[in-house]
Amino acid sequence: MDERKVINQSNIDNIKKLIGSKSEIVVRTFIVGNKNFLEAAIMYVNGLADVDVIDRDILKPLMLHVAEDLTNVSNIEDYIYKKYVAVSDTYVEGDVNKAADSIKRGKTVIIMEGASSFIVVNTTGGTYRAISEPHNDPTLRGPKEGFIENLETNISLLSRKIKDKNLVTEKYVLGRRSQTDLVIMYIDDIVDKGFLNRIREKIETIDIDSISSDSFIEQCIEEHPYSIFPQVIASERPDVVQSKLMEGRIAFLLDGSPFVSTYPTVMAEFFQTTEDYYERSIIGSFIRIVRLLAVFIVITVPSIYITLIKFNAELIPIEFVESLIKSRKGIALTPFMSLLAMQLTIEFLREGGLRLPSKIGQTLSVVGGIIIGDAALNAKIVSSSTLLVAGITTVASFAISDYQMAISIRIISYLMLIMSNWLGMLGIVIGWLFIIAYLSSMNNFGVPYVSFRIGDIKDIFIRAPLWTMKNRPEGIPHKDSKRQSIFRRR
Amino acid sequence: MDIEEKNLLTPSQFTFTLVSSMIGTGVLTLPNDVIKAAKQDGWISCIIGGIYPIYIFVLAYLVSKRFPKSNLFVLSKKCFGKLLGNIFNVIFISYCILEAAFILSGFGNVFRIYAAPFLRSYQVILPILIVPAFISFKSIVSLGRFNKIIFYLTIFLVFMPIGVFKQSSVLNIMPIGDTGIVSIMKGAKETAYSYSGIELIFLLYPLLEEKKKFLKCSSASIGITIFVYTWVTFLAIFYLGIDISPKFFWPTIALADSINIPIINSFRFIFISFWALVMIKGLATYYYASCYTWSLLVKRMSKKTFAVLIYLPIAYIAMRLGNPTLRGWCVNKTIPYYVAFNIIFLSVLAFLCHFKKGDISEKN
Repeated sequence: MDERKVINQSNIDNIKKLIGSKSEIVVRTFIVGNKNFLEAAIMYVNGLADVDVIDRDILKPLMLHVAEDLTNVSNIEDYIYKKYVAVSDTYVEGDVNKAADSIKRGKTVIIMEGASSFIVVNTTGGTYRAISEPHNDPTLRGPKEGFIENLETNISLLSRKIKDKNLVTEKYVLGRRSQTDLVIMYIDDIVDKGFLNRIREKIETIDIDSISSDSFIEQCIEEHPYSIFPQVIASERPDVVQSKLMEGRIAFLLDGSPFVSTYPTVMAEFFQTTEDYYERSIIGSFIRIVRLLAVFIVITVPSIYITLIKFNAELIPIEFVESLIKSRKGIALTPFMSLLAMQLTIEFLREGGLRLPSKIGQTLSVVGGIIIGDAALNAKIVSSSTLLVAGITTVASFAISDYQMAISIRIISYLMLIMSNWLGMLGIVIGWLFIIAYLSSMNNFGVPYVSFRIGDIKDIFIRAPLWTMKNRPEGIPHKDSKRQSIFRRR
Repeated sequence: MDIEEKNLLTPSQFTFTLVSSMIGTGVLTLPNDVIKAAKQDGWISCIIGGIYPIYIFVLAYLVSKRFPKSNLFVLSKKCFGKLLGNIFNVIFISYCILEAAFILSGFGNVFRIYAAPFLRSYQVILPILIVPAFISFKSIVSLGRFNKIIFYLTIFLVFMPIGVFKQSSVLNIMPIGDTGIVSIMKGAKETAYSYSGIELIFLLYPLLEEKKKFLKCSSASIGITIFVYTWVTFLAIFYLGIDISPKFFWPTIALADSINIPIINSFRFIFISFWALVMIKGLATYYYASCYTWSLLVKRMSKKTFAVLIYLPIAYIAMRLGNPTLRGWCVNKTIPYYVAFNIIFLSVLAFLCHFKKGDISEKN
């Protein structure tokens, strides 16, 4: 009997050692049975496990309701968990490492005297944010739920939406010290196996000590770390991820992150929003064209303005020249300098407004937008036409739906401005050529970042009616190209 | 399904790369070249001139049937021996480099005159050449995608001058066929410079991913080119007439003047800006061809090294070519010989490859 107790204690010590003896681990020993009783212990981490469940469904039945003699029962752990543990997700684990891992994830381990294995009970608890509508990605007509920081909840949000039997989840643990859970999800008979293996290999290469957000993974494995363009898109919305999985993409769900990123990402995705698909096709298409126009405006309009003012004044309509000259009278700064100054001021306002509480944010927009603008005009720092160009560009940059992409495009806009100030129209032409050349040389995990395919254009420049999208996008690797049948003629 | 790691061109990329090897600066002056010989029937010459790219394509097709994976340089060494083969290869490389320089200087001239008179020649040539150098530094797939994207972006340029129909006279093209077959054939000969470039097909066909679509892609690209040339020449004659057109250096740009959009004072400016994209894609194709051929000749150095090395020589040649007149003179003095060389070289090569049995067959 004493020997058995020693085994019990050594098991507890082993697990403690694996978890780290200084952590918030709780060990509770108790006795099972009323005569010829057995020693037992439970182990869990305070705060991760739900204490109510432990008290009600583990301790209570084991301590109070065991009225039989258990000393002669063989395979005691199997018997106990089948008969007395009233928690559905319970299993027997022989490996002490795995048992220790499960304790770190909020589970409770029961150690029985005389048992060779552990009983692991899922008592995961602790408080999490409730499912709510994502603040950064609201929609008018779509579902209002968003991912939260809890991995299990996020997986359940997706599996609730996709009931296909081929939905696969694969688990990884990342971070030497943080040991964060990563789950990749995909639909087995759509995803391209070559691409999947490539992604798996990439995940295996990550060796970092701590991961706190999905953007860490993105930065660890992206192919062009110094590129100006974002290469992975993430969403807080399960419906977005759902539709991406249907196109053959792979979703990355990281424990503790409410953003789910999908691989591979192509450039067009940064200009699409969920709302496009919930609106009717005509409206969605119109919004998309407007958004692409905004991209063109942000990149080109300031530089065209500089070209016209500085080099090609003959191209400005004669009626307009007069008012332009009047507004520029008495301004010491060159158009380039004043435009740059205005753009930078707007950048400060934008960056400041991003982190301010919303109540002060209003003050900022009044001071920034109205007072500085007006004062700059009166102080003869900028002309009104320059201010107009800066204003249009900023407003247009807000129309780009993805924040990361909007910033990238604004950076390009500065480069274009410098180029046009140097070379005039040639600068703009070179700038655009270089953007196209750069984009066409970019691969994202072997998938072209930008591709022009006739079949895909209907979901890039416009948003064709849903029933016309009978094939999955050709730009994304997949096994099963047919999405749906042609069930409607027109 | 479409993980592009093989570094091969997809059928559409192949098609548009061939198109951009043919359509470059030539189209800007083409109407004048043919009007000189064929008068108002110049546009018929353009159609007949299409025989040249078709002929080269037939040769390439015959060769590719037997050697689907060998490019021009390997084949010429097989057929003519190492020394002679390499001499021909060097001539071919010089052709690619010269073509690149011609396009570049042509671009510089047109752009400086119509859009940026305040720039010096080197200010145009040096920065713009970075783009082709960058693409060649990357890969053939980048070039293919680049050509494809720009083709779609600029396709509207071809249909834009449709506005000339309003102001043109049908008398300008009448009487059709009056100049006689001899003049029309002479005009067709003049189109050779514009159509030259199709020779790159011998370098490109081993890089095509789906060999089965070779016929389809090539005929599509030749068809597109013949259509564009004929259409532009026809419009120039239709709109400007054979007396006025030669007064312009670049009659094709004059077509853009027919478009009037309120607020925009000169549509020519926009036309040239977009046309610059077309010229640069042609330039990029030749630049790539030059690097690629160099790397085939000098096996120890990679294509990337040459992408850096030939940057300055091409820029230098382009700057030396100078003004449009001098450049035109140089083009007329060199390109006809190159075309003749290419026809003879490629014909003999194809003949040898096709009929010489036995010792030179390829193991697939």
